[in-house]
Amino acid sequence: MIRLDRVTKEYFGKAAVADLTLTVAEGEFAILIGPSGCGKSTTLRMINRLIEVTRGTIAIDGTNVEHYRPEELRRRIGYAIQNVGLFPHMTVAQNIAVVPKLLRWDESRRDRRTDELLDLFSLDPAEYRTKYPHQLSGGEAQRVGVARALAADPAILLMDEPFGALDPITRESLQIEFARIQRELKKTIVFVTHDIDEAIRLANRIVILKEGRLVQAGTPEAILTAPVDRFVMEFIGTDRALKRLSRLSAADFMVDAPSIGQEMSLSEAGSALADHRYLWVVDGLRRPVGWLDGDDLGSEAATAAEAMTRMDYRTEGIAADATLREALSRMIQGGIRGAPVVDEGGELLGEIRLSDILDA
Amino acid sequence: METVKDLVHNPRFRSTLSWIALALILIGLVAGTFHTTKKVEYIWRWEQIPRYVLFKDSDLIEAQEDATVIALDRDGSDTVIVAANFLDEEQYYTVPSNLVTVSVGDEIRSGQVLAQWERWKAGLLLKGLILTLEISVLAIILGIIIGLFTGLARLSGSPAPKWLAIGYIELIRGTPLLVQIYIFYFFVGQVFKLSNFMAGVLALSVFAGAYVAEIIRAGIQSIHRGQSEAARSLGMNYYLSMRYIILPQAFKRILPPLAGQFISLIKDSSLVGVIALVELTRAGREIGTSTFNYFEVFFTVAALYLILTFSLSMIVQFMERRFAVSD
Repeated sequence: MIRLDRVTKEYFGKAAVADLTLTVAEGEFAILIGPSGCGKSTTLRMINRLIEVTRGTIAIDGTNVEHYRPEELRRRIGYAIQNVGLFPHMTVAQNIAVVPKLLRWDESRRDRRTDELLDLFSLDPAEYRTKYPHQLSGGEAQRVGVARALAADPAILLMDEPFGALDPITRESLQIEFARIQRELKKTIVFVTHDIDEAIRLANRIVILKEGRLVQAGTPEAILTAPVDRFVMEFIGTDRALKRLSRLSAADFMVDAPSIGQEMSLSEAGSALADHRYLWVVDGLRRPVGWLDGDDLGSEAATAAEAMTRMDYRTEGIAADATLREALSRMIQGGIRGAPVVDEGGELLGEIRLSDILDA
Repeated sequence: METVKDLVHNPRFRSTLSWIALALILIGLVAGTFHTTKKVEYIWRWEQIPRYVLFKDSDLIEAQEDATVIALDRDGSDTVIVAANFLDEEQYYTVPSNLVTVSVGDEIRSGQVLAQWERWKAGLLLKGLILTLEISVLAIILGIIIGLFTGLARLSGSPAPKWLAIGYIELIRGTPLLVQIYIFYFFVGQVFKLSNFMAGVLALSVFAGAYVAEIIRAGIQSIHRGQSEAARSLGMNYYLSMRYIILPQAFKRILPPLAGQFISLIKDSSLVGVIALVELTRAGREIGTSTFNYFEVFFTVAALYLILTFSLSMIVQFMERRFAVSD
């Protein structure tokens, strides 16, 4: 647990951070956000004493950070820096093992840990261990940067715009990957960004700062639903309703989907349709291949498969871990009011309806 | 006309033309020098030069008195012939073991040649070259040490080391090396009872240190700030981050200017001749005054300096290639 109590940082009499009180609970993913110059990076750096506070106290698990030697403190707190900050003259393995080496772990333990972390970040140890940073792509370098911060398995991780320098596609895939890793590791994270979408995607708690002062703190949902003032409202953008949808997953909003096999005769299908407005037609592996509604019953066809409106589950099905925002976008694109939710193999899990999204 | 124009614009033709021009210029230079020396009626005596580099010295050991050999004692590769005269006074003659011709009990007479041999000895120029090399190597090592600490002090946040470093650098860069050598010899040397060799080495080290400090400072400043910040944020103190993060990266960048500085240092070492150190240049001058073969001697001296500086360049290039691996 990190507790900031009335923390102030002044430069030449001017406050960069003013009277900030904040608690980050164990396992919480807290994101500090605000326009540039709002004091978010300064706050982050005061936690591991890269910057010293002018007034107020910062405590980790109840102990004031000033009781530790700065070097000792920093070895216990992971720190992933802006623009990666990998050491160009060291290999990936050496970069990751910096803190374990400072902590005098023996070589076999360091090697084991390095491989474990490379695996965690989906980088093949055999291939990446001996590479130099200049041989990595931006996304790979950033993964190594975060892996290095996690090397000594610190309980706390500080991240200063770690994905800021990446292209949007790489950034998004890394955010998704990092969210997965955090679900596994449950670190206490303080993360700085100026990208509100990133904050909404990753955070348990968002702390909005402006000119060194706390404006609003709360869950992403709370902030999107009830911004405290004009500044927050403008900061989160006019599409905040849409942003909220990106916090919600399709799996949580899906309902049972009525379905029939594709070999079913049309007359049987007709009776099944009596209770529903439409039916999903699935193949032998329960993958949706089309749908059937009242209009289709009048046809000459013998089976459901012949009468149905065809669809491709690979492009029109919605993955269970997709966000409601994606589901909505798909429906608008296809001009449909409901879509099948499928698992990785394409099997029908349920369906999601436009009306449910609008009620969300 | 078209073909002539094509030829003129053909890169291969142009390159050939340039090579021919180079050959002509070199031939011209050699011919010019030859013609000039004809004009000054100088008699070239190149055959005199090799013996100032290496020469064969003949050594001769003669018996001093009539005596009897009483023992042959091995001493490394030499043998000591112990002989006693009629008063039983012992005499000792040291000769190379493989040249011993007498055995115990032999009578030897005054003036008898006990052994005669020839061996190669270093001439004045080679001795000068070796002294130049010794002075330069020592001054380079000390210069790096002084330069490293001064460079770090120069970047320090606290005023005492910073301003001391600035003062030292400005003082050294603002005064002639020759004057510094005199001060080190006459003043510092007197106070601390230094040999002229030590005074020369120290003067050159202190001189080089000031320039090395500026090179190291620039090298450290050229490393992105994010590197020292990353090092600090991972829990390294000042020493660790310098030792493992900043200096290894800076070293690659400062290697070329450092090499230039040390090549200058080798050449500047010719100035310590003024404090009675017979290094290469001084050796050349001494040979010149006694033989008047100034032309050949100084051409040779120049060639010997070139061997030193060129070797240093090669070593540095090799190091640069090795360190380039991680780029």
